[in-house]
Amino acid sequence: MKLHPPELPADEQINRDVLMPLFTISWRWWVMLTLAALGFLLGLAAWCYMMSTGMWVTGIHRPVMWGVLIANYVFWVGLSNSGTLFSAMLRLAGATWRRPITRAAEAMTVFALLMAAQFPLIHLGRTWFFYYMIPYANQRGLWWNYASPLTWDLTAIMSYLTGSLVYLYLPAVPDFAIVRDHCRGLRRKLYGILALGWRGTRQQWHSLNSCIVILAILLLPVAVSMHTIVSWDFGVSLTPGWHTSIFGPYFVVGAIYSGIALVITLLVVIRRVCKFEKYITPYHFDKLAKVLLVAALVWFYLWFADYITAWYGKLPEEKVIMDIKNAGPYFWLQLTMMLGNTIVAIPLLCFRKFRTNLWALFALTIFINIAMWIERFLIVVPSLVQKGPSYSWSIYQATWVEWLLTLYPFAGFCMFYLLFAKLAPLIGIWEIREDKVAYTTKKLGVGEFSAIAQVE
Amino acid sequence: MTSNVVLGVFPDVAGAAQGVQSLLAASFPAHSIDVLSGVPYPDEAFGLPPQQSNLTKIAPVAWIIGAICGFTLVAGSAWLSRLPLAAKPIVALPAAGVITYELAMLFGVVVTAFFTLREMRLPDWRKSPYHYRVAEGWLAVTVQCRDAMAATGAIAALKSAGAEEVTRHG
Repeated sequence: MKLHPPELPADEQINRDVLMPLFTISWRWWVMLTLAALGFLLGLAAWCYMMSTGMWVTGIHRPVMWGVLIANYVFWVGLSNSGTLFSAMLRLAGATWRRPITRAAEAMTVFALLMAAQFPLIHLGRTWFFYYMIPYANQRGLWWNYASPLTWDLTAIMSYLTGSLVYLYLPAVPDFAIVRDHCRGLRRKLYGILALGWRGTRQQWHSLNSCIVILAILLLPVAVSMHTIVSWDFGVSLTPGWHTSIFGPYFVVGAIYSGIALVITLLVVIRRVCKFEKYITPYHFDKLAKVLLVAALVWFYLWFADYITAWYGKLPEEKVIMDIKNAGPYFWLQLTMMLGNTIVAIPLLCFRKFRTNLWALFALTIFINIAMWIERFLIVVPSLVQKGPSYSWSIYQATWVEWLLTLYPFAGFCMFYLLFAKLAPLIGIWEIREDKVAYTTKKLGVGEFSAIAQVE
Repeated sequence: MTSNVVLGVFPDVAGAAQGVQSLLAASFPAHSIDVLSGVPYPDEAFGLPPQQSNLTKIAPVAWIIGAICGFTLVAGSAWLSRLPLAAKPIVALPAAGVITYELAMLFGVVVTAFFTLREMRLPDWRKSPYHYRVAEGWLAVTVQCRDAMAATGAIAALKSAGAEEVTRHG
């Protein structure tokens, strides 16, 4: 069976189909929103409780000063890394199959990053002192410590969040104008404001397209730098297991891997709930799964390169960490991680039958992200449990506060995404309509083939 | 600037291109003609001169300004709160490089977005000529006319090209 790009209906039908989720609210949406809001509020309550009582309610202690909270931070920064990065890569590569995917991926970046950015604040303990991180000459004569990787984190997150918001909003302006033209009353006013008075003049299209390309060029290195900087939080320390130069690319590839897995998870759900079967087809999932396969292979390559270097060197301080992971208390986590990230994922993704089976792909991508969360945990915790003099060694056990704070970003992400789904079309309408302009049929011999005209 | 604007609506790109050609044939200058569409079309599709954009020049300049600001912030802070230690520079260049790079990118993004909106003349809260069918995939050809007589000529040209609806604004 050959996979083809989807046959698109008439423009009016595309408008109706893509705008339908904006104008209808089902009871399922309310149930999902209520559950997500509940999880979010529980997490918020746990955060408030931790602030009022102190960090001792978490499982972190000397020498394990970084626990689940930092694992969550790395995991969510990783997820956020991929949406805009992936969309920018596909735009620059001129991959026309990206069109129904980019909006959902870009929104994913913004909400995942909003969740990730809260973890340094949560981990501060005394969150109300967050303004110490803002660079201004204050009355205490304190200045920003620019040599601290945490300061680099703040700057990188700020740049990437701003860039991703712009990259999400500007291409959505023509779609807001379409929504504006399809509604009345207060809603028309709201979308009129969001559309900024867009009319679709030649200059507007020309500038928008130029801007999208420039932003894609600028945001690609920002995305790479952001997760590299997160890896330097670990890499520049002298802690065994962290102090390695491979962490930069290893983190970036891991972020791309988990991010693409989440894009697939979201698209399976969006396709089903919003009834976008005509627009997001097995053709797109096949392409996405191939990219996921490449990310899985590169991730495994980097992981193995890091592993074999430490294993061969057998430095006592590194061997201790490897022993904890390979045969000690973290063995089962290590095994689950390897199963999810490579042993199960790579062989399955090699088969097209699997890549086009959406619910199987959905299950696998969830498994991959569970494995990636475990991988983040295994980076953070085992390196610390036997750090320093042996009398201070101890196993880390996360408390209920930390587990609620782990639920918090998941629920918050779902909540914001559900609200966004009612505000903006989850598929870029003008982008898929552009497909209709670009695709044409070409006669070759006695056959007819679909071809893409160079209109971009 | 919306006085005496004539707008003709066409169901497809071929009709809109015909409308533009009719206007050009009726001696309307190319710069007074515009096409409103729901998707971007290449300028060549309508036989109009290509649009210009300065964004490719603006973005690198913004990037450089951002880099200068970033470095000034780091080096200036280090210089103002000096901690002289033997064999240690006041400004740590690798750390300064990270902040400089991030701020350069941030400036590049923000300034490009700002100038994009400027080039697109957005936000535009005026009642500029528009037709709701543009959102449904139709195309609207607009032409800026000097006076009422020219507007009458534009209406005739657009009707002869097969416009489904022609309206006059202003």
